[in-house]
Amino acid sequence: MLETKDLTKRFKSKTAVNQVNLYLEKGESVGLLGPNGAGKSTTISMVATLLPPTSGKVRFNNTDAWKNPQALRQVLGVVPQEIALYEELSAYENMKFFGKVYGLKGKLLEKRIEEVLDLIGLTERKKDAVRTYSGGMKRRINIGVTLLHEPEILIMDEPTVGIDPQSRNYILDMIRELNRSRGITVLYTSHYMEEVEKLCDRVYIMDHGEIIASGTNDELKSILSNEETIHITVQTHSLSFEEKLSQLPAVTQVSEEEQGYKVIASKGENLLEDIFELSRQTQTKITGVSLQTPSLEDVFLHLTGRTLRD
Amino acid sequence: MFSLIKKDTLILTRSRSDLTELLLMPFILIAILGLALGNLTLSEFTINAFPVALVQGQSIDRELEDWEEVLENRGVPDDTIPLLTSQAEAMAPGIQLSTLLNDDEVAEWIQVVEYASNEDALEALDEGEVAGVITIPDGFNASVWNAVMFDEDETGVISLEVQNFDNVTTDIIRSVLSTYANQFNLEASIAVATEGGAEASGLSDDNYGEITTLTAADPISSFQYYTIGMGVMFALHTAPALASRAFKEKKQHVFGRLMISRMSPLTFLGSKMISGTIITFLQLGILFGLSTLIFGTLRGYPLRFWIDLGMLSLAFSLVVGAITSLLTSITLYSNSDASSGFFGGILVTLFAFVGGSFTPVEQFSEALRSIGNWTPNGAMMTAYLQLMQGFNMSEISPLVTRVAGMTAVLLVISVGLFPKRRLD
Amino acid sequence: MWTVFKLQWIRLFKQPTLLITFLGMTLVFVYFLAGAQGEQTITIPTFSETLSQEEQSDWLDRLNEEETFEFIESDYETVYEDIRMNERAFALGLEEDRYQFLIGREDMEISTLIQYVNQIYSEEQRLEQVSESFGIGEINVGSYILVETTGRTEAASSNEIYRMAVVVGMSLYFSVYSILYLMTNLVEEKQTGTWQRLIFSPLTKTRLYAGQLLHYMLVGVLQITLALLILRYLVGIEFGTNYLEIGVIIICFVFAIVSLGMLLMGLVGSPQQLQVVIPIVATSMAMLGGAFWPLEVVSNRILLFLAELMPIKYGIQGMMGAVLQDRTLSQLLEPIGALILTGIILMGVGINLMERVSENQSI
Ligand SMILES: Nc1ncnc2c1ncn2[C@@H]1O[C@H](COP(=O)(O)OP(=O)(O)O)[C@@H](O)[C@H]1O
Ligand SMILES: [Mg+2]
Repeated sequence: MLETKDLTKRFKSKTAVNQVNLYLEKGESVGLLGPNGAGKSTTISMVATLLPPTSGKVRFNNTDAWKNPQALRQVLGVVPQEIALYEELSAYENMKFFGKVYGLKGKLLEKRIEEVLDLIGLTERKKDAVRTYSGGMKRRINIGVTLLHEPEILIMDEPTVGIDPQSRNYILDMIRELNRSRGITVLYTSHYMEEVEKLCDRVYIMDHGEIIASGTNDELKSILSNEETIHITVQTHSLSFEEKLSQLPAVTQVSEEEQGYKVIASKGENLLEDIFELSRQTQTKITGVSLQTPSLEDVFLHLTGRTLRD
Repeated sequence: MFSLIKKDTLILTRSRSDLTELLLMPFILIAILGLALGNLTLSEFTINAFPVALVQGQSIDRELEDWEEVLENRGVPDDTIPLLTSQAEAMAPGIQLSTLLNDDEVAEWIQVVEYASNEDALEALDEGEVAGVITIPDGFNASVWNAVMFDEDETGVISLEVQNFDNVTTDIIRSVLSTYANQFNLEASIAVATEGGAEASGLSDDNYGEITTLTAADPISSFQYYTIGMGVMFALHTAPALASRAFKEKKQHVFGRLMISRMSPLTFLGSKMISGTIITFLQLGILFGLSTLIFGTLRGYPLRFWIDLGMLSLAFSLVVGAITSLLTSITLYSNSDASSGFFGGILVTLFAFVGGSFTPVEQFSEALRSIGNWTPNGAMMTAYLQLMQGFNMSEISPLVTRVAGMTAVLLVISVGLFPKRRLD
Repeated sequence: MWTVFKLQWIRLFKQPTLLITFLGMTLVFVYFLAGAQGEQTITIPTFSETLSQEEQSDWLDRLNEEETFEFIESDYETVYEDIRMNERAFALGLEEDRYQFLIGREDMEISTLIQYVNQIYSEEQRLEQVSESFGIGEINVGSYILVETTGRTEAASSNEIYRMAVVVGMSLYFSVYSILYLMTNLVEEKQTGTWQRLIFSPLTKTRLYAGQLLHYMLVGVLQITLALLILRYLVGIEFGTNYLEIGVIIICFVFAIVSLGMLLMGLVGSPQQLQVVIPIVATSMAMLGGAFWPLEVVSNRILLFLAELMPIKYGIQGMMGAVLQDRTLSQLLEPIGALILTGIILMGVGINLMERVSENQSI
């Protein structure tokens, strides 16, 4: 129902988003994964008809969304990355205002506010100024305001940044609930791969303004199907050990971790034996080895040679 | 502490536009002032000649004819009538007045345009074509003659009609007319009292007085006055400008981080105070320096003066620093930028008004000026003016002490208000 | 639009400090202005070191014959102290046949004053000469010729008008500050993201702008009205009964200022910078537009030209016209037209700039 065609945005000379093509089907939950500065916010700003694209198109139900933004805006809910609320007002007052902006009024508005407050678990604090809320509560009301008009498409920009795990789980469960049982289409942006992995049916991976991979979780991981990830914990890091490791023919990637190394290598062969051999040669004491099934994090590492949190 | 000050000044130097605005913008105002008031000095005042309508009543010949009739009716002997008539002609104020108005000296200001009827002239006045309408009514001369020669209780009335009273042009026309009227009255009175014995002499243009100042120095020019006025006002604006940066820091959690670290809150406040002081001092220095270089505002003062000026500026910078720390406290306490922005901005404007930055307030009421001397900017402004008038430091110091007292009080309040617990 | 409009009011009332500051400052400011209204004539303290008390008061009577200036008795110490403390600009020293002006700083009134005093001295001098040489007693100066000045509009002394201009000018200047400071909110909303939130809602931009701008306009109008009401009912300054004209002028003026605000918000990116820019803009506009001194004293062409561009000039001109000159709306077309025109131009440019900035603002 919503798709982009060669979407591009240039700020002066810097190209923030370059020829991005993505689509959302009704009822889907789609993730947009990428490190800070990848161009995620810029992309969804263009999709949400906030930021005019330099070139390319946004199509909603096969019509140009930028030609007639109102049609899209009416069914769209966008949760900004920052807490975009009037903090001196209460949760209730904020909701009442934004609800009215979306054309809700009277009894219906009151009913929706009650439902949403219940959903985000802030009914008891609804009369307090948002300024006095904790970080997690602010995030929740930030989302809640967007849900008032029962949007068909929900676009969220890193809604869990900088909050405690409990609030985070609350929010993730809430989004899943919205998607699964109410059929709301979700576009979820994050640089936490666990979230996207848990929440989304399909994922786009973005870096330096471009989509570098896309597909379902499994499809993406199958990029790594003939590779495996091995975590080696060592007593002390050793340069020569790391160097020799990366020279092994089967190994494609070695990166340092807190207590050892992460190695990505082709499957099969006698890799483990080689590793132990090397540890003897370089006198590096290995305290543990574990094999891991690949994650999206690994896919990203594989594609870009960098981790998501860089 | 020093790292914080360094950070504050560094942030300011980085955001170059901010710094330019803070330091150089007062200078724009001074330039406006210089152009507007620079040439408004005690002695000379330039204004282009402006048109004024003159409506004359009867012609002088008609009036003289009528006058002869009047004399006859009064039973004046026939042989003295020609004498009295020629006397009357010689002192006809209507003639004197129109001569005067067309005089070269007056013509520099007033350009007389004759109108036949009052209606036409008033229309021109409404259209803004002339600045005023001077009407010499029918029988004007006769009234005066009657009064002077026969001691009748009559008065010749010259009427001046203007659009506005508040125009400078009105003042000029009025002063030309009333100077003439006064002089005529005086000479005529003398002539009557001495029965024509005293020789009519124009009033001498002599000056019967002199202009002196309290000290040997020149009086303060309007330009100097406004330079100081704008300088102290904009220095005061530094305080809210810096305090709102403190709020931004808080928003960006810099403040919280500083508070968690081992730094004491007073250090934070102190750094604000010191950066406020430094920036204000630079601001004043640039202002006085550039203004003197370009407009010669403070040219010709000895080195000693500049040292004293530096000391005064330091005292002022300190009080601005204290205000900065107070506003920072208030901002952090009330958790709102509005207080430092709105409150600071508006309060500064109010202080500037009372302190005399915009216009010498004692013209309005003396009480206002006395209140003004209790605002930091007003007190310092007076101190600067005293310095420029040539008073020595011992006479200036009471005001400086007053400002130092304010600095101390403000600091104490700001420390008291500073939020003790960590907010975020 | 009304939703946005109403919200801004709710927010204003949610910030009691802001509201109290707003009302309190208006009150205090007007109070000071009322002080400005207190004295109608210029008073000049006089002192004498040679004349007796009686002679001095004779001189004072003579000097006070005309009502433009009011000469009062004082002594050298007081006068010295007042001038030193900048509480007076000048004082007059009287002697038998000389006078002496003691001046601390130049003042616009002083040249007329010197002229006046000098004339009286020369008259007295002449009278004395004559009466001495003719051996006659005191000569009474008759008033054979009188100059009567009337204004086209009913109003008293030129001083009163000058002060009225200051009261009006200062009230407008003060309201410029309030409006511009409140409008900083537009920039803040863009920073917190509530602005963006409204952009991608079904609310059209026109309505969004209209709601916001209407709010600022109403605040401005209310403030000026409040100031005038206080001046009228607590201080007793008459503003006449041309309510319609006064209202129209106020609304047009506020519109022009809100537009100016839009321009500033478009040009200047951060609230911190606005902190510095607003006072500069407001103050230079007031100076150029003649809120601090009458424009007649300015002879510089460039400045006179610039004055023509300042909304505050037309605001003052219009208010003075409505209050003192009893002009009707059709006679006030010039200031009204100028205000609306500047308003429209500034608004157009301002909104364009704002939009250009938001083209680069994502969430
Ligand atoms: N207004 C702007 N002007 C210039 N560059 C910008 C602007 N907004 C974003 N960028 C740049 O575009 C890139 C993408 O930013 P963004 O979309 O916010 O990334 P993300 O949300 O993925 O962290 C960044 O490098 C950022 O610096
Ligand atoms: Mg982002």
